[in-house]
Amino acid sequence: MSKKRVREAASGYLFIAPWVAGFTLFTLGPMAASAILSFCRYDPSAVHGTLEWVGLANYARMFTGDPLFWKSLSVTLRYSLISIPLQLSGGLALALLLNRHVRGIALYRTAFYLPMVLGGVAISLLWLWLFSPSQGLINIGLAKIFDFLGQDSACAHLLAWPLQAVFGKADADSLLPGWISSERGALNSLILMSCWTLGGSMIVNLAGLQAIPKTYYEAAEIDGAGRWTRFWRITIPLLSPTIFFNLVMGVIGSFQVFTQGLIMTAGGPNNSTCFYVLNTYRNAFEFFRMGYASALAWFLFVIILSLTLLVVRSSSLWVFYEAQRR
Amino acid sequence: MTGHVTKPGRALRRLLAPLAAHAILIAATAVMLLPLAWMVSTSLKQSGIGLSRGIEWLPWRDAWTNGKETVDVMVLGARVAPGDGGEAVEVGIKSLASRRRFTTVYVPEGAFEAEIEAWRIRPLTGEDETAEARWAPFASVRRRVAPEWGNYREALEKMRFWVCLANTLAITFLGTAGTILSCSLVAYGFARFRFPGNNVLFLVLLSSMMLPSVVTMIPVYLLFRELHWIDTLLPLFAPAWFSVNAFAVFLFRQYYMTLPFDLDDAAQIDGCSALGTYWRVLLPLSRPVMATVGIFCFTHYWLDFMGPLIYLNTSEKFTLALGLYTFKGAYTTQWHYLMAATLAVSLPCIVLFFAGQRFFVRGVVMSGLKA
Repeated sequence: MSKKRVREAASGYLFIAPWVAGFTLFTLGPMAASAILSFCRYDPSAVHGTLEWVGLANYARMFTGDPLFWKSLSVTLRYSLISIPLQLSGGLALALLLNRHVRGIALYRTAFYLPMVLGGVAISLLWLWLFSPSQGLINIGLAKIFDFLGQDSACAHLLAWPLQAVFGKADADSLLPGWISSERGALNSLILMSCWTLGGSMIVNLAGLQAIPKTYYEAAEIDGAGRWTRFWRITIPLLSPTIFFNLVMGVIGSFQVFTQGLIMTAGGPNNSTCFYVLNTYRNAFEFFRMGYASALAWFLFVIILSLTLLVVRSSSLWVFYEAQRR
Repeated sequence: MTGHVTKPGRALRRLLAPLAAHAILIAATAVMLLPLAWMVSTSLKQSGIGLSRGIEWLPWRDAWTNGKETVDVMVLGARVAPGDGGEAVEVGIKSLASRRRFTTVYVPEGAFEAEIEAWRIRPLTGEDETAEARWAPFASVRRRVAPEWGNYREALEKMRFWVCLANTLAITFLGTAGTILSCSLVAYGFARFRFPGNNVLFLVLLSSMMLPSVVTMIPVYLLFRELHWIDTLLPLFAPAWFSVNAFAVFLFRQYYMTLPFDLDDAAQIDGCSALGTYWRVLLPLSRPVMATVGIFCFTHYWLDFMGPLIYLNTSEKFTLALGLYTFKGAYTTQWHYLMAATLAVSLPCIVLFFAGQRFFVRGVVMSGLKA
């Protein structure tokens, strides 16, 4: 290598040095440390905060001795399984709705995106108020509807039954749903709430839609393709990279849901919203079981990694990249 | 859609289609914005009574007057009672200021039912009468819109807003500045220099974007504990100076790749060092990326909750998000305060969003990472 090349390489390494240091200090090192910790018992709050090697005990406890682990895993899986498809289809539907040239479309787009900038804590507090069984906007509105229909009318009961089947009961003889205060409805209410922030995936989908050349649609129309055919044969294939991206981000995001569970329900009622990360956080920072919490964190990492890989591997079957065709 | 309009049906469709689109869009927008409107409405209401009166979008307030003095009251309900000269409509009222008693005056007047309907108050029967509640003629109670601006003052004071704001500003500013500086510098290294391992390291950097933060959370916490940084703001912004935001590095690198090498050569002929080229030529040119990354980081640090929750213990160090959370713990049912505080905390992000919407949208589109 010439002297110039050596100098260039040296400068290059110097410029990326902050990242190398940061990556080692805050990512690589902690990952290794967390792997080691997962085989140890460690309580930093104890006077003699000792590190004790316990082998596979943490993992054994996770799978056989901790019902809350299974509960939190199933809660998170249920949340992901319902909210990801809702987010994907809802985000796409919104994007299709907003991808048109009508006056003031920018204002509509802004309105849909606005909830995204409030952040988890503010959104949680607002919806806690909206979901309040006795004073919340939603139940007051529903009560008015039931009053209008007549409390004992068949119509009122027909409306109340599916709502209560999904979102629980406010109290034993009420027609109103209990939302986050009922064990049956808490998780579903949080899923419903997640639809309020569809704006993020909407924006991504919208950008994907606008990148599809208009000529494709015009050509298809000349060939006699109807709306439905154009949607399934042009929009969906050309949008599949965007959908793929939203799916990967949805998997990574929904498995790490935390804020709503802590602020709105504190994991309850009866652990029905005890999300996986909430359970991990509590083990680490409330019960100071750092070793066990590390094992939990690593298991989550393995789940997310394998799901992401599954999605990525499957993508060749359903994601269509235009550049590959050429 | 530029075909000749020949059939009347088609003309009608062209007229109606935008109308239908607007109808759907307005309905959907209303559903999205209703919660926000309710938040604003709640934040301006009177405590207790204002919150329990059902769906009222404006902060109504009732006052009873006997001609000489005016007292804030709560209207419990209404009834039609026989008076001296016929039937009188009365409302059951309760003083809000003190436990003072009201004398009941019957004023004969007839057609108040419609007005009572407009007030949306339930009919009261004698059974509802309590020690504090008194009957008063409907005409002696006046209703007016009176926003409780004081809610904001009190809520901000109670949650120690200004202390939290100062901390949040410090973290947001230092975190954003650190991210922009360190990430653009590292991106410059990746984009402009050939060295063994350039591509592999960049791939490693990209894949670190996918890593869930939970995995590194505990050891990083222990690291900061060793440094005695717990309950300081340092753990919240210091990592930003080590270019931990892989997405920002990616954006800067992609942008530098589009800039011609001639720029670097010209700068070097003019006597710029490699660092000088970055500082004087490439960084100033990358303003659009700086804006995108800047706005992205601003919202990230402003809204971050888990970080402050883990690292901060004393309320002097709290950020706005954490302050809001602890405020909720202390004032669980005081929704007028809670909504006022929530709105105050969110307002800077909302303003920034409207000011820099272009960059916001670009950031989201490029990352899909949701704030």
